[in-house]
Amino acid sequence: MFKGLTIGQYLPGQSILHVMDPRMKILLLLFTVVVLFLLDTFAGYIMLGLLFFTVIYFSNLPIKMIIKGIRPLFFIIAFTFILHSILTEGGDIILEQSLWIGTITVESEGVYRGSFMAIRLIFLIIIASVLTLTTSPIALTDAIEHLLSPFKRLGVPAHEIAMMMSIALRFIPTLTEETDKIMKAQKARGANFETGNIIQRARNLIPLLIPLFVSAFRRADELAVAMEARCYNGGEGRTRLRELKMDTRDYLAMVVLISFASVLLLLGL
Amino acid sequence: MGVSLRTENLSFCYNKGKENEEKALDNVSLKTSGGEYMAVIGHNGSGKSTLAKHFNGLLLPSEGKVFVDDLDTSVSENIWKVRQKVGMVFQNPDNQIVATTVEEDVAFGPENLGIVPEEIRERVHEALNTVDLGGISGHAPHLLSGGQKQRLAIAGIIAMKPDVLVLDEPTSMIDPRGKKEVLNTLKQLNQQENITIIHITHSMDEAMEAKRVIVMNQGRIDLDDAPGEVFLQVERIKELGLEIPQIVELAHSLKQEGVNLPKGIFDIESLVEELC
Amino acid sequence: MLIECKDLTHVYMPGSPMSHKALDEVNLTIDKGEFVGIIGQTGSGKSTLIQHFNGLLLPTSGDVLIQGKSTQGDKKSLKDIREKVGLVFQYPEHQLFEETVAKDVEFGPKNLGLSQEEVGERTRYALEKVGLSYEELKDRSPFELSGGQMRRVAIAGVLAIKPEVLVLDEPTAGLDPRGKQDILDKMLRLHREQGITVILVSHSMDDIAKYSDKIMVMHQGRLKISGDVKEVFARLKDIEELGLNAPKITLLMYRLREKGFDVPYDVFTVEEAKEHLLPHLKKGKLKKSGSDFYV
Repeated sequence: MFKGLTIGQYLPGQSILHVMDPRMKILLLLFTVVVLFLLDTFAGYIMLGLLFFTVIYFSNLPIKMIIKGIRPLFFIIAFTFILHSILTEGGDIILEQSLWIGTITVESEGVYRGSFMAIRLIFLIIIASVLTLTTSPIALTDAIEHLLSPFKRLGVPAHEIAMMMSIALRFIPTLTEETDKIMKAQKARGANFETGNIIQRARNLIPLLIPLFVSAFRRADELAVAMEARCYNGGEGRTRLRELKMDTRDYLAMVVLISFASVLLLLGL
Repeated sequence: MGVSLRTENLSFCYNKGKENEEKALDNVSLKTSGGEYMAVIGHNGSGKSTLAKHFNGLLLPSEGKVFVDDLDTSVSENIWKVRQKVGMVFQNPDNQIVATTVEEDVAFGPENLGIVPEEIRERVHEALNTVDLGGISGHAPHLLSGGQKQRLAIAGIIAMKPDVLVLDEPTSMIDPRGKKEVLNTLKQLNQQENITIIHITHSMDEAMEAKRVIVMNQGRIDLDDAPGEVFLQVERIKELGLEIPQIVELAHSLKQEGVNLPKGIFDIESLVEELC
Repeated sequence: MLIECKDLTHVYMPGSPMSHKALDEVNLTIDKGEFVGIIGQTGSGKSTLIQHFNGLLLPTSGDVLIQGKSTQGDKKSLKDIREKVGLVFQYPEHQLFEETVAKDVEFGPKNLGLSQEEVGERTRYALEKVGLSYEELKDRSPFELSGGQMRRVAIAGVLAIKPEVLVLDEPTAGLDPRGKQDILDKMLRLHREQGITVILVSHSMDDIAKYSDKIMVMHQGRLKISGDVKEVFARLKDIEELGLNAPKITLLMYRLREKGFDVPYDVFTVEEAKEHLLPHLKKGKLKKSGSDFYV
């Protein structure tokens, strides 16, 4: 399922979307999600879609790749559509079928609801993909730290969360390599990771998971010591090499999106 | 410059008071002055790593004291100053890299010190050039070789502008080419930046590069002298479970058989000259 | 012929922008009972090569035969091959996972489907061969042991399979001099006592020279030099060009030969050097070959 998934992949570049402040990008994403759930007509979605398409196109982002990224999640989308179609009542009956569990009715209201949900999911996938395509993982982490900072007085450990995320990101490739090594070492001793029923396979994973966990804990320990040796003492008093600065471009984007969305909503779309 | 490190009757026990208490350091007193290049060598369990961790306060003495330029490491207010003056590089190249890119990792130390961003940028740039990693500042750490990772770790420390650099077996886990890179970097740092280098190792070949060699055994200092003098103690070194460079051992061996050779032969050319 | 590689080529991630040819038409044979040293810089392909010996990696092109059977055969053949060829990776202690030392060592034999009795026997045998006491350690957690002990337990885990071929990838990495010598001596003893074919991968020319009968030098995916120890060290210049360092003692002998002295060049240890030099030394100087004037 992970092959072909576009969400989470980062493609370095210089487009407008790339250079925008990541905080603004996240905020606009959240705003768009809200708008998505408020819009209620096909026309509305089409208009919104046109806006995004224009932006994506003029940013030279790989549209094909983004669309293709929907495929792995097709199942979820189809499932949502079907569920809504069957369970939501209202409107004319489109289809009636007797099955062993009872009678299934698909009514027009259900189809509408189902389609809207499907459309929203598709939009969601597209925007999330665009976000991760144009924002490096570390920029995302920085943005999240900044966005959560105001909540520090409510006890939210913004710095610690960001530090954990960035360290996790840093170690993903390293741990992936290690998993591979451990798997090979155990296979060399006759371990079998391929066949067997669910229970057997779960048990067969123990020689892989335990060494991995032990190693991860050891790494964490050594890393903590190394960080302390470099005078790490929590988030207080720390400065940053890279500073996030909003500029006109970001505010402009915000204004454009908000106005556009407001117009759509006011028009009752 | 001129930061002195000294230990006074330093003793350390792991698990003090518990039943698996283990004395790792036994009454160690030593002094180092600014700009020294010192190697601490010993077999596993000799206490060399434990000693290293006292220099920057990662461990505090069970008995005795450790001073970094008159700062007592056991006084908690001093600890951050101590760690800025005495930087440490560890054995596992991966488990000391924190950030997702090379330059961000070098910036980590200065960020912790609250240095202003413009200056951080300068320091990062300088440090990376010093260790010869200037061209790959945007690389992700997992793409680096072992030698590059350790040089990155060193850059991360020198960006904090320390006076002393302690390295705890920095080459144990990397390949020969990487080992060479690290050793060259240390030489350069000592000669050009006048940073005190304390290199913990179990390789005699590496210890040879230093100007002062301390041999540890069972928590005590067994020998403390220039490499030339230390190597003359061939029998003692073998007893301590360490390797003697082949040429040194051969010269010693031949002398024992009555061949007339002068003291202090360490390299191939000298031996060839003497034999011909 | 125990192991045979025919035009073995291995490309990682073929077809992608990151594809990398790790092995380039490697041809080699390893016979039963040999002690082979494989040396090369990082990136030379040696780690990739040994993973073909037990089918963990399959060739992109070419073939690898273990006792005549291809690693690209069916599942049953692969299982047999993994029984015959034991592979100890670098830092093998990272594979330990069981609650007790005994259970961890038993993992391999258990996967072979042996009887409980046989499994127990092999566990004892394997621990003994690495110099650990079965009685003392069998119920202890492997994670409580020292680094050196953990490494031995891991190696025992592979020995318990009783392979005919033992491949060791840098078994001395991270160990101190005493530890290094101990492990290699034990492997040599296994080789001599049990006739196990040993393949030692290392960065250290010193270790390879001291223990191997045959040496293979890898460089950028190709097998550049292959032959018995004497042959290989006759080509010192070639070795150095490949970025490898001959043992200092060997370089010394070469220098003495250059100066005209009749000393052998395939000398790698201090003892051997002493033996060869002493007879030539009169009053502290070497006498030149073919002349009878004594200094």
